[in-house]
Amino acid sequence: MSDLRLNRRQLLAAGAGLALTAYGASGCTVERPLDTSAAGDIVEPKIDGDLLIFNWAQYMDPAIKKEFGEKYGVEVNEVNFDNLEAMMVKLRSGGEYDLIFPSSEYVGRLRKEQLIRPFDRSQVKNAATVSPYFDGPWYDPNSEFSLPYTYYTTGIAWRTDKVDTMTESWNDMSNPEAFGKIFMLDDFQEGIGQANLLNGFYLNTAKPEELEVSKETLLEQKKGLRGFSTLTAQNLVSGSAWIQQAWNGDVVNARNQVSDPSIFRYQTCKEGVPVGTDAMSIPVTAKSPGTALLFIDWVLSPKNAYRNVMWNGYPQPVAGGREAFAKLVKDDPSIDVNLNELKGSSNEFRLDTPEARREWNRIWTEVKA
Amino acid sequence: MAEQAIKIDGVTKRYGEFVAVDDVNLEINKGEFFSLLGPSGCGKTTTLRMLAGFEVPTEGRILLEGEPVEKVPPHKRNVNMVFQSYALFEHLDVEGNVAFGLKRKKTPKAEIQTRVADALELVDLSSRAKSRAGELSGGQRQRVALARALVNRPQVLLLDEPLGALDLKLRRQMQIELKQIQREVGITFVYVTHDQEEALSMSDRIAVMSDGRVVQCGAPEEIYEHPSEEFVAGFIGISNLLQGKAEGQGRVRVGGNSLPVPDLPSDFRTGDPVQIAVRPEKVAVDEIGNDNEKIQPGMFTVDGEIESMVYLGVGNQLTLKLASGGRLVALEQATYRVQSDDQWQVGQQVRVGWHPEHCMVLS
Amino acid sequence: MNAHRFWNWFLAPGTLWILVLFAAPLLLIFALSFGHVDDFGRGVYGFKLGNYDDVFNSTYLPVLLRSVGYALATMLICLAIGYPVAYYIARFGGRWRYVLLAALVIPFFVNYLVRTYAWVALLADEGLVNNAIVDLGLSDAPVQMINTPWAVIGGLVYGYIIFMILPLYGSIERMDQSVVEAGKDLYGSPLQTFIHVTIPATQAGILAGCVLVFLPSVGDFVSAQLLGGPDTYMVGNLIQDQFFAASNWPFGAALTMIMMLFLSVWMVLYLRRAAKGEAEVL
Repeated sequence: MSDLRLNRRQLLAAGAGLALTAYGASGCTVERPLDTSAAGDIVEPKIDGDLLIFNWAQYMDPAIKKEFGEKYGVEVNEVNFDNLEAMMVKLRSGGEYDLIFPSSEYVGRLRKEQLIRPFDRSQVKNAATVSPYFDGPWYDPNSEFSLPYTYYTTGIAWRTDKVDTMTESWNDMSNPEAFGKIFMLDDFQEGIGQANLLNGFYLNTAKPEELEVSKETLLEQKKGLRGFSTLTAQNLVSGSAWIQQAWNGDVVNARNQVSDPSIFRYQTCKEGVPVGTDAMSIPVTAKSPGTALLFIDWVLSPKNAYRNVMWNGYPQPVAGGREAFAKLVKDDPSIDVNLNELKGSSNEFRLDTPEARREWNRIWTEVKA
Repeated sequence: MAEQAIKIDGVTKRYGEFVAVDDVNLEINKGEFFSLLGPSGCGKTTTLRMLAGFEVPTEGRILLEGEPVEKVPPHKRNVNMVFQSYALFEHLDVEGNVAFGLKRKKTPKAEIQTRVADALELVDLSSRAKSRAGELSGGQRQRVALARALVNRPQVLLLDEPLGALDLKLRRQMQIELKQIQREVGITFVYVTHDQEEALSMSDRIAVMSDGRVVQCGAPEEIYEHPSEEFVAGFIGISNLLQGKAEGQGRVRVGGNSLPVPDLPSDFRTGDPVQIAVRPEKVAVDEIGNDNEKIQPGMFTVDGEIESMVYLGVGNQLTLKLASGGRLVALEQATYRVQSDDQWQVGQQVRVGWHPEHCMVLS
Repeated sequence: MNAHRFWNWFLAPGTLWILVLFAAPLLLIFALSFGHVDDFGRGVYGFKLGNYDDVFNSTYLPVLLRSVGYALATMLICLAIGYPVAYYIARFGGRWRYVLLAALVIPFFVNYLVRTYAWVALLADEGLVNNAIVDLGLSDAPVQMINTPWAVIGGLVYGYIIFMILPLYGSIERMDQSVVEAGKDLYGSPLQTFIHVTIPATQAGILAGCVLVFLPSVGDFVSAQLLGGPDTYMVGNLIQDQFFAASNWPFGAALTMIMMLFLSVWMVLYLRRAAKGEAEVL
């Protein structure tokens, strides 16, 4: 057992080793820089090999992949990630995926890091029906690196059998009727964002004095919270949540789980409606970028968009997808947000600098701690 | 009549169908060194555990100085036990182990100190008072176990094969010490062992047990010289067992010989089957034609042949095939022999003899 | 080649394994903990002490204290529940003891996350338990069980109690039963014997169980995330959020290093104790 005890010399050696590693690694990023020379080449839509998709699990109707493979005579394979940071790590370390599904904010980062390739939207036939809301979004100003897959709005879901004093305002996050039964999304951007909107600030404000005010708002709201959680459907269905800050797609999921969906309602708030997007992009490391672009077109076709929305419950901002989602929520149209009525990029979360991100994170931690 | 320490009155212990102790009746006197002797599984340890309170008798009573205790839990009985494994408390030092019982009895601190010191003195361990149990040798651990029990001045001390884990030499030494300590403190000892020599050398009285029953109870000499049945004779040393038929006038016919058996009780009628035994060390062996070296006048003699021979150091063990059929074992002491090993050869014809008084009649 | 050197070669694969899979990542985390985040949100190695300053920022202190408090409570509850269970199985389990142990271990083959989800469904306001409470008239309204500190501790107890029971079972099973009898024989009542004999005789198991429950409980994030309320944020959640939500790997790395340092102190204390215990047995 005595071998387990380090003597002084071993401790010094270990310390020196640690210090040397820190010195040797200083200035390097966690992953080695990639060869991004393909980042400027425009992708042509043509079959150039089998397809490897990198996506969230259970996010696409398998029939869409299968029929694409049959039509073009290629193999379509899929691997999954658990979170976007993990996806970034895989990409930066050279993972050869042909098609990825990053959120809008990650599209911005991938573009700046030159990890994705441009393409010409006009060559994607079905892109013509994509909502104009996604023309030149902040994360892709020239609409050349991404096309939207799904989108979602953030609002407030509530149970009509428990609460009847909703006001279509973010003030309902501290509605006294549901005190102690309110859940806030466990997401630092959604949490701080709704406080910013409630205070009349820009959604993504990085002004310290404004963030300080929003922090106070959050601490006040926290008193009536039951928890921070993204399990919207579960919280609503199990009766634990009377009011839940929610993404509209999750309300559809909650309604699908019960016999009387009318007790679950959803409101967007007059102070502002955050919009999130999961997009489709082609990495620089793609082996078959041409096939990937053809596949993007395939996914956006009205027929496939329709059945994909019916399959996974998330709205798609494209012909077919819109109709499918409207059908899913026909008895509560408020779940279906008309994107064309929303004003541009101020509705999307974007933290442009590490300092802003760090400041938001600090405030969020101070609220949760 | 000595004062009674323990009375075991018709005690039976059953585990389901199995009868571990079967209607045992024993009386143990105050100050006595009493042994329960028998092979493993004979019920001796179960009997001891009932005395300690770890087992409750299925039937019968146990009286401790006249008080019925069979239902009293162990921590309320004024008896203490020395365990076979010693069962020392490894987290305490020697002193802590010895003081354990006194502390539980809420004895005043000063008294604990003196009594613990005395107990350690008694077992000659004063110098190891602060040692951890784990630092002691087997013999020292045994002494701590003894002191830990004796310090409480129990009415009865129970010892469960306390020397079983020690090597032969240490065991002999501890036997003597134990006996000395017992005399010194005057406490009643009930000692469980399967070692007949140990029981014979230490005990005032011995109860031999077999299959849950006491088969014979008496002083060591009585048990040894007059075993009441084949089991006792066999368990206490090797015995030569001979089957015969009573002939009357103190004679028994075995095979072709008529043996004089002075001890034969008069109620045996001619023709009754009789089992007799002769201890190997009582059998004398001489060369034929030179048969007065060890065979003495008055001995009964018979001729035979040496079938095998085992050298034992202190003597030889000879297996003899008798001319009249049957076999005998003789244990020949080397005490008087000048020449060591060349006297006997296998196959040699010899004369065998023993005093008729050494013929034991088993019931 | 002498025998000693021969056997050294056998150690090589294991040593390499530990170096590559344990020491190397640890060194990288250490290096990263002095780094910063670049404009792309990537972690960059460096020489900054600021991350450690942030760890000791008063904001995070309640999180650290809460985590330690929950872990201690978890440890004590596991001990209080685990000891009788382990004792019963070891002493009275007889030929069923391995069946009983297996029955305890088998649920732990199911992913911890999945098992914790099951608790959410079971204990929610309109879950099975609360429905039964309301239907039986025990309460007019559902009792809020989840999203409370007690639910988090309950989740931790449920998640880690097997690490308490197994070492306890081992030490109780190994314990010489005659030691307990000696305690009773020496006038110890059942309670006194338990306190003065059984507990000291099984202290190795108690210590091992406590360390094995405490260490993962302090760093846990699943229980607080799924069963917690607004005031149950633990260090594990904080670290997880740095890596997967806030994209602040260097700060996450600094938190991890401080956590490891803190837990190592406990581990070293335990190992020294264990080494001493072993020396006594030999």
